[in-house]
Amino acid sequence: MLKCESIRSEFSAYIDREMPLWKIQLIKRHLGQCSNCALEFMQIRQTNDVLHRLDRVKTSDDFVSEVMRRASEASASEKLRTSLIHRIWQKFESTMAWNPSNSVLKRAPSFTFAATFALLLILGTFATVYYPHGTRWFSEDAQLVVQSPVEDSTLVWIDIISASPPKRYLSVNQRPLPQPRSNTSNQHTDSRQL
Amino acid sequence: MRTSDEELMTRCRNGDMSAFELLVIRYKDLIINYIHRCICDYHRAEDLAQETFIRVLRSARSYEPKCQFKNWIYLIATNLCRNEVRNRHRRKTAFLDDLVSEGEDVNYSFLMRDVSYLPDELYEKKEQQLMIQQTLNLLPENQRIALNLVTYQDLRYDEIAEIMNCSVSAVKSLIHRARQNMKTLLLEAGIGESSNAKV
Repeated sequence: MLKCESIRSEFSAYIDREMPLWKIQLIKRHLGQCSNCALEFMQIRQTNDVLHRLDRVKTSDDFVSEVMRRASEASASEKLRTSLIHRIWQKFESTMAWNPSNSVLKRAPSFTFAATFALLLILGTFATVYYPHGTRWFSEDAQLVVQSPVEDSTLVWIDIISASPPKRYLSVNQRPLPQPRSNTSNQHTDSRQL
Repeated sequence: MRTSDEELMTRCRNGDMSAFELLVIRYKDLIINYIHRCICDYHRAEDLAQETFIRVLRSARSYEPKCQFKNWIYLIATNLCRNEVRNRHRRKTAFLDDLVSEGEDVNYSFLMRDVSYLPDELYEKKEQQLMIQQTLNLLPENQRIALNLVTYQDLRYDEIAEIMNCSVSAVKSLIHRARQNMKTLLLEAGIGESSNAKV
């Protein structure tokens, strides 16, 4: 029974001659002995014969000329697309002997990933350790805050939170300013009217 | 001596349009018949066959001569057929309605010129061919493509495996299941042993 099943699963390959000669001989011998398998094989072969009854369609006469017309249009638009940037890129590829279809990314994706990760790690370490001030990236020396809403007839309040007093203020008001506070949370209360 | 397809394709890659034309002439019948079997619409099959050749030309630069040209062009045509069938399903276009409407005027019109068929026999043959094609369309997509390639394009299993991007044993299994399904469907449709002798 098992043998019949395995033989039947090979019928299509047998019809298409997609098996070695010894297997063909084996199936032939089995078909001569087993009537059930012979019937099954006959049905499969008839199905194949029925499928071959479909006629082939014929190509229209102007098919080739139409394809060539479209091809010439396509090649013309392709030439237009070949811009200066594209030429530069091609030059770069040829200079660097880099083939995108055979790039490192495709050949060794894990290596590329590891190298990128290592590079980012090194950059991050440098940025953390060797930052000159050791504080934040942005400057806290001067922050300009405009309190909204601003109207024409009303006063405009501008908070100037600075380590040193503005020169303009010193020129108008020749009185001493309070010292800048070290506590940043209280800086907003140090507002002056301009 | 016949120039190989791969050589023609290399010349085509270098801008030789006469080589491309030669390739079109060589493959037009094969590709149109293949697409027609897949999508059952002659006019659309011609459009898609044209599109196949245009894609061949466009991607000539990426073609590697170590790959067999025949498999490559069938791969492009197969992808276009898959897209077409998917788009039709999206648009909910009736597959078999197209077959009937399109089949009337173009597909089998050349049979009318064949004097070996009497009108009744011609009609019967036409009906039977439509029925076989309809039955073929009931198969799952992969089985239909594999069966189409082996039955009508005479490709080997390893070539089909390359086109369908699967193993040879998978192709063998697909074709076997396709023939088993077709056997059942054809018997249900009344096309089998009894009608075998008629055509």
